[in-house]
Amino acid sequence: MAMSTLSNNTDAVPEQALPEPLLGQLRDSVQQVLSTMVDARCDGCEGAHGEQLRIQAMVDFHGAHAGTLSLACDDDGAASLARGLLMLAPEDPLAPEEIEDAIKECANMVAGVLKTRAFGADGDARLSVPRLAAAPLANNDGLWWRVQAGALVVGLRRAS
Amino acid sequence: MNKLLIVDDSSTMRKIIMRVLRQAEISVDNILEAGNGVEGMQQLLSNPDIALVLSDVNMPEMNGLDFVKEIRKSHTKEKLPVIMVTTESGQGLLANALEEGANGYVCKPFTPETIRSALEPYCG
Repeated sequence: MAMSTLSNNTDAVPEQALPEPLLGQLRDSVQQVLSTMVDARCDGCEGAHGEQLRIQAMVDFHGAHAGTLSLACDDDGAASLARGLLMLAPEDPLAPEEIEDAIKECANMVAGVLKTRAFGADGDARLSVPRLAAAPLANNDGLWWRVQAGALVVGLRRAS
Repeated sequence: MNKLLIVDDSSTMRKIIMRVLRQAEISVDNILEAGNGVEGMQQLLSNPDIALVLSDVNMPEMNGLDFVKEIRKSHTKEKLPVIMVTTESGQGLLANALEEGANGYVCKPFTPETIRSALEPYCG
């Protein structure tokens, strides 16, 4: 699949251990978005099995709960996520820009749900517009999902 | 309904909303798109027969709240229904959107039924 591959990892989010309530809220937020919006089989799974994460979107939290949410996929995961969001059949054409926009929008929705779940509907957290960032290539610490045959990893870095 | 305008910086979300409108069996003759509030205002000026607007909040150039303000400043658009579609579910922000003149809101992620319920009052 032709996709803009981000080769350096300067924007990669170094995952840190999150406290369990926040980890659970992150897991539930991802699950809510996938189950509501993505027409594809999505299952939580254990960490890395050599997948090459090729594309990553980030959303920043500003305010009292500052941090960055990251959502990264391998090629298959990115395409499956985009097709699932857009309800496209496997034979339907899918442009690289459509995949990138779908990954950003998915990260945006996860961040929005997490904001409400973790920080309250009126908590002091403002979301940035989602952006693409260099993919981390490998990530053993985020929360993993299988999207069809591909991989999706979501992490959260809190500002110190 | 003749024309509906979807304003969102994500082309993915615009396509999802169009698909959900079909799933929800909401009949629209023509769906127009814009990537932010500035483009949204241009669409409204070019298409005075737009009957309903669905707008994101968090957008570059002109965000959804400023977009609603601009719409309400226009005497010809005082009563145009505007529904916010947003990941921002803070009650303060949503109340602000309603104060600025939005008629309702839908939080992402959403189901077709949620969209149908929000749009039903405006779909005659």
